[in-house]
Amino acid sequence: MIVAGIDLGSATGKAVVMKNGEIAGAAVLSSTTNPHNTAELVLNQAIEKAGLSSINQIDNIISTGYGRLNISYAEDNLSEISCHAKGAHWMVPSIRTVIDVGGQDCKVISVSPKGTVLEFKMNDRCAAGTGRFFEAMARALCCGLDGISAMENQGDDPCPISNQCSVFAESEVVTLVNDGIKLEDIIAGINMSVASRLTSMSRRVGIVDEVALTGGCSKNLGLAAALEKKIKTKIVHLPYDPQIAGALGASLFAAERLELRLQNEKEAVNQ
Amino acid sequence: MTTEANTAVEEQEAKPLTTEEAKERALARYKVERDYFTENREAAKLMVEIGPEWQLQVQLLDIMLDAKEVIIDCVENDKPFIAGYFCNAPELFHAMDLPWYMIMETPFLAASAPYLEGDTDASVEIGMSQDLCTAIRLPIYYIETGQMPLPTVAIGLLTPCDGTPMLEQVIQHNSAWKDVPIYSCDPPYTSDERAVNYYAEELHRMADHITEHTKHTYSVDRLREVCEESNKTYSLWQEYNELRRNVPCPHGWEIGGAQAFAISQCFVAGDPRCTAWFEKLLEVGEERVAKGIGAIDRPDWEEKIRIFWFDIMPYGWVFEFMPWMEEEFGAVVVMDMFGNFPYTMIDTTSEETMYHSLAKRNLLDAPMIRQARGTAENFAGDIRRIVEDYKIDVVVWPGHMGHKDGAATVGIMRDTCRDLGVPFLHVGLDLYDKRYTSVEEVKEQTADFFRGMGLA
Amino acid sequence: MAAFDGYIKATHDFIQSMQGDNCTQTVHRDTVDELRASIPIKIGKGAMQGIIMRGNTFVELGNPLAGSTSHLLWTENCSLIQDGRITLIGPDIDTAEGQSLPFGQILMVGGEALKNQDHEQLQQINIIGDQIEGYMLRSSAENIWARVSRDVASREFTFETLGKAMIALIKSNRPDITSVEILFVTSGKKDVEELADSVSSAKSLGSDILKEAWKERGYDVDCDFDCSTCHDEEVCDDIRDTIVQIKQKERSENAAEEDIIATSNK
Repeated sequence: MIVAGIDLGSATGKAVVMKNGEIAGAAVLSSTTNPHNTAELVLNQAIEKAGLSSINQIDNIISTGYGRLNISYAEDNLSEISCHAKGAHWMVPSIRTVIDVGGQDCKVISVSPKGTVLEFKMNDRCAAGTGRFFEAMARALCCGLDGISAMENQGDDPCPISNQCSVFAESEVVTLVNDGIKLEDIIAGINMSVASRLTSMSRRVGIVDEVALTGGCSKNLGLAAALEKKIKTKIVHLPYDPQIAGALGASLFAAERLELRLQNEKEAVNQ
Repeated sequence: MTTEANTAVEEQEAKPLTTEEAKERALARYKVERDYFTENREAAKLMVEIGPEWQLQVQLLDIMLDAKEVIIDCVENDKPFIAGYFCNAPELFHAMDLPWYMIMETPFLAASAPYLEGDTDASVEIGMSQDLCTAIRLPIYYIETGQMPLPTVAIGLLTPCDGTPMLEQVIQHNSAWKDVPIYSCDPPYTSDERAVNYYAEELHRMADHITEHTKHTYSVDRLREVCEESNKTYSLWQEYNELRRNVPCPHGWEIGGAQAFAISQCFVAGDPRCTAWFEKLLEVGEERVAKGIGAIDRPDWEEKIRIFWFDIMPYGWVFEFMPWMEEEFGAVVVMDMFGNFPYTMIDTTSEETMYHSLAKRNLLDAPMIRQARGTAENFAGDIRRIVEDYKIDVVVWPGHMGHKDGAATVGIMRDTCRDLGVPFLHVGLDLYDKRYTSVEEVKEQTADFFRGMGLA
Repeated sequence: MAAFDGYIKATHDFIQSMQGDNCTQTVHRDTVDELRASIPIKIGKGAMQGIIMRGNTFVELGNPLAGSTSHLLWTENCSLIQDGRITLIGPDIDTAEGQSLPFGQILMVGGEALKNQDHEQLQQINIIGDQIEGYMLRSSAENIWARVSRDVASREFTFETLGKAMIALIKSNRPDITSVEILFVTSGKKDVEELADSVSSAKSLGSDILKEAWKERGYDVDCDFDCSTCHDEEVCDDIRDTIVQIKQKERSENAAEEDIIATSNK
């Protein structure tokens, strides 16, 4: 059985191809202006990595993410909440809380032992606490996203960023730079500010060990370290790229639905 | 109604209503409500051909309208009657041959009536706070403006929320009602045998109070007869509830808990007509279970999500929300707070055992009182049981603005659901007034939730 | 946890006092798989398809008017539990077609690692749901009220079957429980009431344990009406003051508006 999951986010498109329950190929690409194009590009890359030659070899495809409705060849589309939960849980079955920080939204998901969603909180109305916030900060500091992420750049005395709004926070950061505050302390302050926001969201859902961080911003080591301090618990290391959790979950759903469909067809034939 | 209400308020401020004036005004409003339900009944009669559930609706409305006509007759002809609540052991009223009406019946039964929005606004105009539960605000408004039938005796309620004692205070200070003798049973905080025995004594005192002021009493044999009939009714209700454990659930929101509760508690408790209604309900339900028919009998519809709605149904806007949930998501309210009534059977061995059972039933079993009185563990316990028995996929705490006691328990409910591995949705709305949280907003939250959970 | 040890002893004393022709005991120390294989019904999630309607009921157990009681007692001292023992006092299921029997059930479970925090989850064991084919617990709160279907009755479903099914389910769902003993009483309402009396305060003890377990999770399921003991009293007072200020402000704004209107109308 060969299935695929496509996660079309605002900043990146992700795809995972699974063969008989194992990840055969995965890809992450920057989003284009056309979701359909993004889907095609990222899926083709994942197909190639899986050693396949064509989309026709895939038995079932499920899409998720903001652009999920735009993929005509997907059998169905599902919420990214359930897909992220499922994907992260498949990677590490002991995960019970998923904190996903994407390009334009962030969410906290409480996961059951079976990998289903128990509760979630999502911020998709505001850039604060998302990849967009980090982009704005990186712009203000002229250091690039890698600069904000690297552990060696995290100062020991984080300078608090009081503004939640990324627009005002950008101005605040510029002011701090002009005031001569150490760059490393500003960077640490930025990560701490996002971590605080995520912690508030997480507490409303309830933080239950083990905790995973997914999404593009999970690669920000400074954020991960700040979050661990705030939630007072270690973030579990995922054995696969955390950015593919949503696409992985979608492919797992694709497999489940395909199995169910085949079973129903078999029963219908037997009758 | 609003214009009349404003007039009533102005007149009240100028000169308090006399008893006679209050009687006339109350009768006028009561008849309007009776007429509203009469229209509903006529409409339901036209639908009987569609399915036996409509026959049940007609029967329910017949019983309701009979009860209303009796109250009207009592008012017009100065016959004794009671204003009380469903959890005041109404079997005792029936055994004493005393008609009664529920003080909160309008928000519970007539919440979709066209005049209700105006009355809700009027309640604020006369000075009530908007954050007071609508179900409490409305009866207070009716009392203060002389639109509630003046009973011979009032039986008050001091549980489960702060709002209900407030109602009793209003009664005691209202110019027309202040001379109505009122008795409120004192509910103990605990739920042990001592509490039940104490409450049984309270029910005795309540019965004595009624007798003192109406000269009506009961014989033990008559009480036994009523209680045995009540037991039959509840046995059938229990039986029907178990049908709803079936997958698919044989009925959706339209028939089930709300009607069962109304029939058994709100009109005439321990009456053979109630038993007959439940027999019909059971017969219809059993047939649907045997045939595997779900809430909507259509080949293209499938039950997908089984919901425990842990509160009263949103009577004020139920027609706009529940059918949508069923159609859009295959989401069926399999059980709700008022449908779940694991009632104590009344031991009819003696007068004392009957009082003991009635105390237990009305203190420990009656919905809302069961959950909100005493320890919050009752919220968790009910969730644990119902999720398992009814194969619940989602627990919904609607978060009615008046159920602030329950709001304090949200964390406990959420953690209980987490332990059970069941998603928990907490909305925040007014069950009676859709302007508090719009129906569209509730739909959006519900849809996001179902999709987010991977249930749709 | 020694809290229920006394009640376990009381239950054994009760069994001892009821020894006689009316009492049968069997002991099953098989593995879970062996137990499953030895019973003529399915067990596990979804074992029972559908519900048992009144027309399909072979026997009713524990109608509240007939007599009903049920408790789950647990201990960390497994030596107190006679693992695998199923005791029946009174008539068995297969001899009671069409009857409504009184029903008392005491489940005794032991596990070395069991603690107070497990109490709530352990109570969940009593809620069988659909895990035993042909056996349905009716949805009543304070007692145990069950039905056995005609279908499984025809497959020689007895209390021994039920007991074995429950032992297998408990041990497979809760590997931390290593000893399970069950007592069933159907001999009469009086006996069921006597059994209930012997363990009557176990329920309130259980409630106390639950309250403490919730407290450890950060919740207080009780509410002390003495505000001075509540650590949120200040918050409550502040909110009250704020509401009063808001209302006063509203009133004075409304009064000012009315003055303006009255003045402009003159």
